[in-house]
Amino acid sequence: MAILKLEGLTKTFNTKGGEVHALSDINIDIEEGEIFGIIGMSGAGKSTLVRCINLLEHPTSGNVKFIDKELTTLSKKELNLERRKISMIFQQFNLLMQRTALKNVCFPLELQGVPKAEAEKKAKELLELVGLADRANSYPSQLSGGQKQRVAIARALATDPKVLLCDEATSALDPKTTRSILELLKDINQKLGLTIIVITHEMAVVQKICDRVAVIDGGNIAEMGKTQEIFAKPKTEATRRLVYPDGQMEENFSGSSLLRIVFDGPYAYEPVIANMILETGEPVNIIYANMQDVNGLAIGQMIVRLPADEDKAHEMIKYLKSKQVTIEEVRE
Amino acid sequence: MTQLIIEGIGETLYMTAVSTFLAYLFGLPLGILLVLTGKGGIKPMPTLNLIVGFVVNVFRSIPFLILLVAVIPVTRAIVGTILGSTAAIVPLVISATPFIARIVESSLIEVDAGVIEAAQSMGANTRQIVMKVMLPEAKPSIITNAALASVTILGYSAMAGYVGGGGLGDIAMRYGFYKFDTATMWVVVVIIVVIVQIMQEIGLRIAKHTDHRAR
Repeated sequence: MAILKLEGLTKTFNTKGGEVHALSDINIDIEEGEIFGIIGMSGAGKSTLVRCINLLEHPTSGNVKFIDKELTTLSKKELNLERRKISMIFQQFNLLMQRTALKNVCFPLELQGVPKAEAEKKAKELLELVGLADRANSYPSQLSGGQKQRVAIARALATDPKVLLCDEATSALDPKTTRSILELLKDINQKLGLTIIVITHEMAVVQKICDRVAVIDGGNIAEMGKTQEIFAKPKTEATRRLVYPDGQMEENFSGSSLLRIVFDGPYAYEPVIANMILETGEPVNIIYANMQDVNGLAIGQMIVRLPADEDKAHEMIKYLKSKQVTIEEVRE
Repeated sequence: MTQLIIEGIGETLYMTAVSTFLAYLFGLPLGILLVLTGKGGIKPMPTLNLIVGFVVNVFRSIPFLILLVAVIPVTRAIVGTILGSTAAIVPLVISATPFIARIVESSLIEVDAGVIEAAQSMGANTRQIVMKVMLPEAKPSIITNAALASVTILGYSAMAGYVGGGGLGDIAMRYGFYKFDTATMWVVVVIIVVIVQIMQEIGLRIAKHTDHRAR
């Protein structure tokens, strides 16, 4: 069942330079318990989109249906009650600098008028959950980036939310800390059944934890689907730009024809290329290769230059097709 | 003479303390109003912001000595007399309130917009954002500025002596200026300098002690 339904969402900003269409006709159904990724380059509109979900930003038109309520029609007071069920974490953590970690986690409970002793008990449990029980009395300035984000996650969980919005939550962190925060999010998703929406510009983040992903480009959804499928068979230019870790790679090589081969599923562990060379008796030039762990599945991708001999090239493509690996001609 | 100076110190501290307190009583809400209704505030109300901002600027522009005389009818209506330390409090408060509104505004505007957004995302209402986010987060800066404000008010209170407001300024005027008793005048000036130093130091120490941003 969809826990969150975005229907025909548009957002237009009126600026001095005229109207800016940040979002146009966004339709997304987020299923309960999934980790949903929203990925796009900076300026694609993903931050606006996430702020339209909890109405920090009011959409120009369209609906935001959360469980059984239409958020855009609620009064300020009713909206504030619903916002407790949709928590949010941020790139810059946004902790209260004059409060200890414990008091930061207590903050959303204080807003609801939960008695102090009860709030502190719950806050301690949550700090325990995020692995920071020993830093309860530290101030944010005494914590590292990763620790701050853990406090922010504990704070976000304090109100027992149904949905957690993560706005570039790992973008200010180093790769190692990013990994540990993503693991924590995945853990929380599984333990608490919490629906998580991850906004990011990094494909690696989506690959690591998202079940489904929407690629947003120029305020539109370029494509949407299961993470493995989007990664293995990008259909649009916007997705390709995100999937190739190195944007310029395509331009750097000139030659007859490049082929992108994606190994997903069982063939990821089979020497397909070696066998292909043996089969056709013709070498290929491997231009780029990498292997990634996409949400628990090994997916490899490789770019090879096919021989100039068209017959040989054709033979290779046929061989690869018979092996059911995904291939794609790369434009140069 | 010593007796006179001790009384003067008492009057000066009385004027400064009461005026600072009352000026914050009016200036703090005004400063909050300016931030909330301002551009990028959480309750933007451009017209109200413009009007309040304009009135504040007008009162800040009037030289204190002129204000001192101009508000005499108001002082008489409130206090019953225009002489003495209590009477001096009225112009001091009128003069300091808009100044305090501005420095409170500048303290509050420093609060990270992201933290306010986070509070909004948790369903905090405007009152909670002011009381639980903006004021506590800006506390060190508000305290530092309060020391600045009270020192300024102390300086103005010395001027109030000119129109019979009492206090150290009055003594310096009467003995030093009119009676050419330079020694007394310098003693009084030194005392004022010492009081200012102490107030400034106390303010900074409290601010530093309550600030948890960097240790």
